[in-house]
Amino acid sequence: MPTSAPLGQHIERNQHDLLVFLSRRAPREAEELAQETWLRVARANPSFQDESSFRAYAFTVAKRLLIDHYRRSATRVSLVPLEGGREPSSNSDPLGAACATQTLRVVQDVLDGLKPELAEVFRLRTTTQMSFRAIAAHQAVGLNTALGRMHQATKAIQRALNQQGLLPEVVQ
Amino acid sequence: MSCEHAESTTLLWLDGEAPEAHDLHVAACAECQEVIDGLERVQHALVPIAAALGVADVAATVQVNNGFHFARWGAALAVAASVLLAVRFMPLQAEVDVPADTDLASVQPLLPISNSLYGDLDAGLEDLDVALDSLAWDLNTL
Repeated sequence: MPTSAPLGQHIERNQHDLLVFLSRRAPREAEELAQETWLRVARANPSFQDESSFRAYAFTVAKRLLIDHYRRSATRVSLVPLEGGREPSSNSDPLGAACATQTLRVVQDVLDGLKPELAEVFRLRTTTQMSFRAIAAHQAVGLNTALGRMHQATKAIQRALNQQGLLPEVVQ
Repeated sequence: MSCEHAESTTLLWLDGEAPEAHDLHVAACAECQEVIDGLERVQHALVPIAAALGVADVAATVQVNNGFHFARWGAALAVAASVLLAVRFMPLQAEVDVPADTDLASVQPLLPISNSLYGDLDAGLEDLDVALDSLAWDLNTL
């Protein structure tokens, strides 16, 4: 039976890849997110016998932190008043601005086509700090119903963005 | 989906409302990984457009609902307070005009005041307590 490597060795072997992964998605916060990831991993101190399991675990923790980071970023962005109507945030990169405009159109089309209660869960979840429990209470439905609505809405948006080539690729 | 957690616990786990140990499951479960990957990619794509996603509408909806909630409780408290004030200042014993030629010796003594009035007062206070407890609970759960 193989012996599990010490946590420090696992971290050392995956540190670079994790930082690259986070830098692609959140360049400015990558180091902070990486540190938080390793802190959480160290706190949980899981024992893995193979490198791939540890790597999958570490990247899972990192993705969770990333999603939380996106949500917080989205909430901060939403607090900035928009000038000249509902346009995506101004961007000095014309390509980025064009992508954002197209993304907005696709997402709004999908949300308009969904049942209102599904669209509402998605909007609340992605652009506010409301938890699923709070959203469920707001909609007066059970927690699993709210979770299911979020799942359906996300799948629909993911499918539409994917068809338009607007989703970032999954690279680890 | 064959994993029972992919559409429930794993989404909840993102909120930190599932046991920390669930990350071990997510790391090893292909379906949960797929859900997390999908959500991560969608959230990433949304960051630049979040401000334009109708957040104001959503916030307004929540505020309207909360406003309705407080208005309802406000009205309930106002009614309860009115009832209590009315009961508090209601004369407990009616004044009686006695004709000058009345033989006072023949007047029946006053009957004891019914406890029902105090009962109503207690009930009113209990109602107010219940309303205040509910309001405190609402405030704590906001």
